[in-house]
Amino acid sequence: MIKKISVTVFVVILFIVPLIGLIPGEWNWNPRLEATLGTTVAMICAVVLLNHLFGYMAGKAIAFQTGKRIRIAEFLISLPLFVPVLLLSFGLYLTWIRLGLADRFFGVLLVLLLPTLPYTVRLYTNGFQALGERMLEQMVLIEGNRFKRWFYLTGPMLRSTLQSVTLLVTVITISQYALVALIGGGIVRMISLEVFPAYSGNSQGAARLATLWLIGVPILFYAGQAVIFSSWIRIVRRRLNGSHDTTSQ
Amino acid sequence: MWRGNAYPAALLMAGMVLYGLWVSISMTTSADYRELLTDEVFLESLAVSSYVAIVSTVLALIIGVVLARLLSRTRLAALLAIPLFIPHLGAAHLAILYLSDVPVIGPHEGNYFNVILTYLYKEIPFVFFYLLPVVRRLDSRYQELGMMFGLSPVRRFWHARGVFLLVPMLEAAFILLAFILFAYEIPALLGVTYPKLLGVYAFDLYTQGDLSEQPLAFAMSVVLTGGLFLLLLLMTGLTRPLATKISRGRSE
Amino acid sequence: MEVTIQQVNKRFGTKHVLSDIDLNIASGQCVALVGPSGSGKTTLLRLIAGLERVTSGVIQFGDRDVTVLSPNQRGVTMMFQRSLLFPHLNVEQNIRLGAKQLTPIELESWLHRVGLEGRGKSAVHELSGGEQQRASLARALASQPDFLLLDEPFSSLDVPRRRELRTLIRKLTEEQGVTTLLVTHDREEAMAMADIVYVLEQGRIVDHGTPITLSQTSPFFGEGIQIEETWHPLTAVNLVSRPTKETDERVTITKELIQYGVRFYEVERASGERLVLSSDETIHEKEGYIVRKEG
Repeated sequence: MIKKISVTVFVVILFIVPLIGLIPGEWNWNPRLEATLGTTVAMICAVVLLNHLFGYMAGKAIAFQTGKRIRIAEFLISLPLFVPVLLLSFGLYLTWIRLGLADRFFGVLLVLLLPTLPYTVRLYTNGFQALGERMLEQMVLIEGNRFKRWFYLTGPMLRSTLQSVTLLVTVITISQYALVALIGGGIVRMISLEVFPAYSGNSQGAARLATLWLIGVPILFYAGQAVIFSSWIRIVRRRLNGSHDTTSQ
Repeated sequence: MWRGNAYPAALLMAGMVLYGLWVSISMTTSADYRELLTDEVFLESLAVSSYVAIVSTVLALIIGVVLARLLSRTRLAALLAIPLFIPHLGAAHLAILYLSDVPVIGPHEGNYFNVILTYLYKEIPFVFFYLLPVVRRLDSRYQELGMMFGLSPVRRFWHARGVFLLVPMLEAAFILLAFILFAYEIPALLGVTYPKLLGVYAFDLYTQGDLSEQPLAFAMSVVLTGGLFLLLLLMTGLTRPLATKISRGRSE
Repeated sequence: MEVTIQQVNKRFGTKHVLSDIDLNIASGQCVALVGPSGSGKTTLLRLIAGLERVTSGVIQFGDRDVTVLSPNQRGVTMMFQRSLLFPHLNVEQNIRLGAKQLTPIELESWLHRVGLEGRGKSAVHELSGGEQQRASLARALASQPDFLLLDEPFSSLDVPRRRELRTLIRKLTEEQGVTTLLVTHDREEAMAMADIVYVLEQGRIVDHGTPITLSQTSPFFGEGIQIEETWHPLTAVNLVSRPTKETDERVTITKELIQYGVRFYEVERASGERLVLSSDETIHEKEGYIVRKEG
């Protein structure tokens, strides 16, 4: 018992307390930072969406299919975790130039999938495994239309997975400086491009502001997603006329 | 098709990685590799980066798994999730804020303590949540059996817990090693100008040097990718028999 | 080894899980603890094993007071519902885990005794559920315990495997003289295996006795079990649990009873001794008694 309390105290002190230093004294507006918000938000949305799309399909397959092919696919998907993505993007940049993707939104978007998709697929795999193959088969039998099935059944049941994925992808994406600077050529301006120099600069205030945005954006995304989810669940319940629903919290 | 399809994702990932690798290889000649492997700057960078990566990984693993054991059944676990909300760049800022004025650990120190601590801040929660499901599934009765059979504490730990934790821990270790070894953002902000960590060295070489230095950067990509990949194959090969036995043996 | 439990109480916080438990197990005997879920039987088992500490009371093995000793100092071993074989070791390595030195011959003889001859090098996942429990039994007994604790080891098996396993356990523990304590919520199992049965309800012992006595007197046991009152109580103790030898002896059938789909015979031997035998085919053939109807 004493052990647990002292460990908790240790954890809180080391991990939580430092965050207090981030609370700002005054609020400034940094126009350069704000200019990047549009691109940043758009990019995050796009990366998150693509992650969900690809991750959902892949996670399901890895969770429920067996055989050599699937294991190879799983390995390939995890590949970016074990290779120096930044270094390989030197080569990708040249290819992007040839394809006309360099310094473009879409070019950066594709590359940002590398540090994010492997984690997403893992999360979805775990989520589907927890759901269980039996449950999935049940759902297929109950509702044949794929979209409806996802809207009413699979989606709500995978709620925590969906939320974790969005959060993780947002945090990783927003923190990417080198990849974005390289592939985006300085033209695709995401918030990290302003945050980075702010940190190496002299102004403490500017640095603080930068961090605030850096942490704030994921939190905003998380909150927004929570709102979307509750409305989603509410719609589902209403559509099913108040019959007993199976959404798990 | 309702069973999902892993091929699009696999194609995307493998495609980009392998293509990037291919281009990197095609931009180099064997002379570049020879030059790289005799380059003192590169070798020093490799040594320092390995040091930082290994120390960070080992510490994160040990502390993470201990925390997972201690806190697995409590709701305090949620607290540890907070660092996950903070992007790596933000963690770097925290280091700048608090560690700047601390001697030995301060920024721009050759021992890279500040970098290690920053990584620990982010990676201990990662290890914690990565291992949590495994720790939760540990059956305490194996430990009880070990006690009744009179096994020594070390053997008891290994048979009842160690074997189950080994593979997930090695996975986590590998992910961390690869990430820390090649990262750019944090060492760029907190590190010293010499010796640089690999990610910083390569990136600077590519973007700031003149065109003649680019092949060196490409050669680095190839060598490091290949090296880590070999290590990965080795590790997977060695642990495969254990992993199969455990995943099938617990299906009862 | 005789086991005595005196006035044992167990509290978890403010919850009294066991109250005033008194129990006696004679050396080599098999005792069953029965009761509904939540009656405290598993807790009692764990207290005896040393996996939990008593709040008050004494536990004695022989003339040793083991109340505060840790499990590895008590010389007990336990079997659970799941076989809990270590999945990263094969059958042979699992068995060796508890035994100090096992020569290859001894190992093979254990495998043979539980019906797993030649399977020593098999991996755990290659064994069926029943086979896994048998391997677990070999592992438990190979460590030469004085006391074997069984926590519903049959519940994950189907009915034929259950019969198989409990006969096996009874046979081996009698051979080795191992005192046995079985926890179960299945009355038939308790009746079939135990010499003495204790009934637990809400943390207290409400009844105890031989299976036959209990079936006549205890409400918990009585319903649904028909045993003729003219049967001699003592012989009923041997119901199904007596291992028999290979023999061609002639016995006289004095009584027949069908229960739970198993046919029981009360027979009288030439010496005048009365026994009850089961005609359950697996036991019958294994045990070697041939019952011929005469007259």
